[in-house]
Amino acid sequence: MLEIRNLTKRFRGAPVVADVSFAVRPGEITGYLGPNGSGKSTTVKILTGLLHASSGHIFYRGKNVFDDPIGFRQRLGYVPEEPNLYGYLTGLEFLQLAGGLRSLPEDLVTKRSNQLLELLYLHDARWVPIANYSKGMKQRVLIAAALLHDPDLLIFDEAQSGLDITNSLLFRHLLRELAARGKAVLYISHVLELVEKVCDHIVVIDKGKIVADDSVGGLRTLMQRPNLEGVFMQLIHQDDLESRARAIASAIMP
Amino acid sequence: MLGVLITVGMLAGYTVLVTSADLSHGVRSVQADWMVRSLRLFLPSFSFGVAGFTALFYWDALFPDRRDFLILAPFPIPLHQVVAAKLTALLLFVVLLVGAVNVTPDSMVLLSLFGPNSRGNWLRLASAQVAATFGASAFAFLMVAAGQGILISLTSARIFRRTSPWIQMFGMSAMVITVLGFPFFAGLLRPAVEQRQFWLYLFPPVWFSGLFELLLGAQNQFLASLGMLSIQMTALAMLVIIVTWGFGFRRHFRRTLESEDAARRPRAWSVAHWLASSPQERAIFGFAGKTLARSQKHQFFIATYFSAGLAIALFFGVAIQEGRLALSPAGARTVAFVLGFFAISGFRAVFQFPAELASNWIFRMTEARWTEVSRNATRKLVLTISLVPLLLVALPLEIAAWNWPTVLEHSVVQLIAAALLVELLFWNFDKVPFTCSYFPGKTNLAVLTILYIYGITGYSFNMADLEIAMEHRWAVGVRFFVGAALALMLSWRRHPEASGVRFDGSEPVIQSLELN
Repeated sequence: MLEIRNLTKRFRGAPVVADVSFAVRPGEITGYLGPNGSGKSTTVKILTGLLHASSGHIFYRGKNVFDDPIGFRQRLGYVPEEPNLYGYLTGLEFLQLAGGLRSLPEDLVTKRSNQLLELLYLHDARWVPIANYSKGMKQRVLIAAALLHDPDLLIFDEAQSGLDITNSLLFRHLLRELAARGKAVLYISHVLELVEKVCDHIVVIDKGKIVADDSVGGLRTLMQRPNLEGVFMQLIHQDDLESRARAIASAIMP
Repeated sequence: MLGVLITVGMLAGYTVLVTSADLSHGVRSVQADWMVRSLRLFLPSFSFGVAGFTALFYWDALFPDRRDFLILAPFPIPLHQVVAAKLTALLLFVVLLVGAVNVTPDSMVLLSLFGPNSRGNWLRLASAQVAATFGASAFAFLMVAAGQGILISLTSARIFRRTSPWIQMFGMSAMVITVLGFPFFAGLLRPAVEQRQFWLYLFPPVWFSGLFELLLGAQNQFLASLGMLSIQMTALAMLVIIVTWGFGFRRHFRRTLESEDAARRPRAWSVAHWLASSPQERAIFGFAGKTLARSQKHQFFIATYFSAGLAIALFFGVAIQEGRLALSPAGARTVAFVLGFFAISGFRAVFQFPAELASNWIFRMTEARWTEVSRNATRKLVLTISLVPLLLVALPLEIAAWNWPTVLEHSVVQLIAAALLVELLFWNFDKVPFTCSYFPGKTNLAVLTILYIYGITGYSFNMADLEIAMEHRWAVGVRFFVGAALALMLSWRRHPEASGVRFDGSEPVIQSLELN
């Protein structure tokens, strides 16, 4: 189990993530929601070691990950929010690079890379430079790279972004399958319908603080809302979006 | 960029200022006349080289590329307006470039020429000076643009994309050599003109220095005819641009949008498999090798380094004999060492420049304290891709110049010396090539320049001397080989502290990532 305890990150003294605590359990998909700038990506970057925490702890299987960050990262698969990949490498080459850096045997890397590219509908494009890939294709390369080393913990940051309908559905089934096989999955998304359908547990962050941490059903009951969208809107105190939409249309068509 | 050009121009102007002023007044001998002609070649060479280098550097910006077309196509702009806007922008760029390259050195030279003896003649001198330098730089730019126009008109978009980096790389190298090789061109000028050697027709700076003869009253008819050639070739370049751009633009627009880069079957990186000992080492070796093979900006950097090395190697290894370039027996041994020095230090420098900084996360995510792994991969890569090709290229020349035992001895010494130099230059290299955004900004440029000068001369001369000494006294050779073997063994067996590989200088670089 991944446990985040009292995690805080300050930039120039201002807290971006403040005293955040929650857990991601094996066999479960934990949804991590929040508006833009709420601190989701900062939390994930601390988890993945791309940022250092100002204070707080992260425990994985009872051990502080800051004591052995490399050991933790070896068990972690990560799909970042932005599909930043080396554009001059091909899809297959990127997976070979990822596998090599993770010290996987080359035969295994080649076999598994080709398998994953085939299953993610990318096999025909495996020798095409990534610069020529669409956003959805890049996302699928990232998903393959995150799964390549059979990690125990998976963090998907907006991983469905840019995927077409088929691949989006495939991704949803994949999340469920991975959780069913005992993987702990942290899933960050803005697509509330998808989160509602696949996540067992929801953590909502707003302005750097956790404002909800419960199952989807528990949240609906607690907030007395019929769906996750209603719960979310109530939790983060959004403006009247319909009025705002009317104002935008009026700005160009007075 | 303009600032850099102006600074370089100032320095260049300063170097010829005094001599030019001294030699431009009063009655001169025939020999002094040729000295003046040689000096007059300098600024056209400089202007041509710098402007040509810049035009090649901005090769992709001369014609709108695929991204420009993709952005512009949805807008309601007719294609002829795009062409007109592009030509206007290019014209402005040429004016700025030519001005930036020439204004400072020309002003300094013209001021130095102004005196009681030259008052009546000053205006003609000034017009010749301006015509030669401004003409040379404008021609360099037009020549590159015309070349691109021909390529676009005759080849497919795919071939154009594939060949462009090579044209840029070799073209930029040629431009660097044009500037740095000035002493040779100046030294060869008189015999070449007297014998009407063919290379003069292929070297545009000489044509433009011929404008002095043309505009000041021809004392040398051949140089004056080359001056006329410069005008004809400039007109031809402009004509080619108008024709090729006029016909090629619409075709290029359509083809660029319709064509895609074909699938690239990755080459089996067998060298990595053979040399690298672990999957991580192979991954880093392969990544760095592919980056060098496919990243244009890194290739240009290395090409510039090699060109500078080649020009300096020429100074050491070549001499002018009877009006022609000939291999200097004493200096020839240093050539390979100079090239080796530039190759190794060039790779040391180019590895500092990140390929795609935002994509570094894959290295950070998978990092397993592989400082030593990274250093091993880097060391093997440098020796493989810089030194081995260098040895192979130099081998036929060395075989032609020396006997077999000397060639063999030279190659072995060069290989060992290069291995030692790699250890020295990469001693504290704790990065993965092309991934670190941290550049040692506190390095004092003056100190670095002095170290480089001492490094090149010390390394090449000492190694060449050592090599000659080894031929006469076998004990010297034994001492060198034993000492080098010990040093290399100790360095290769060094296990630096297993610290994390350095990626970034400070956290704010990370902080900027999508924290909206």
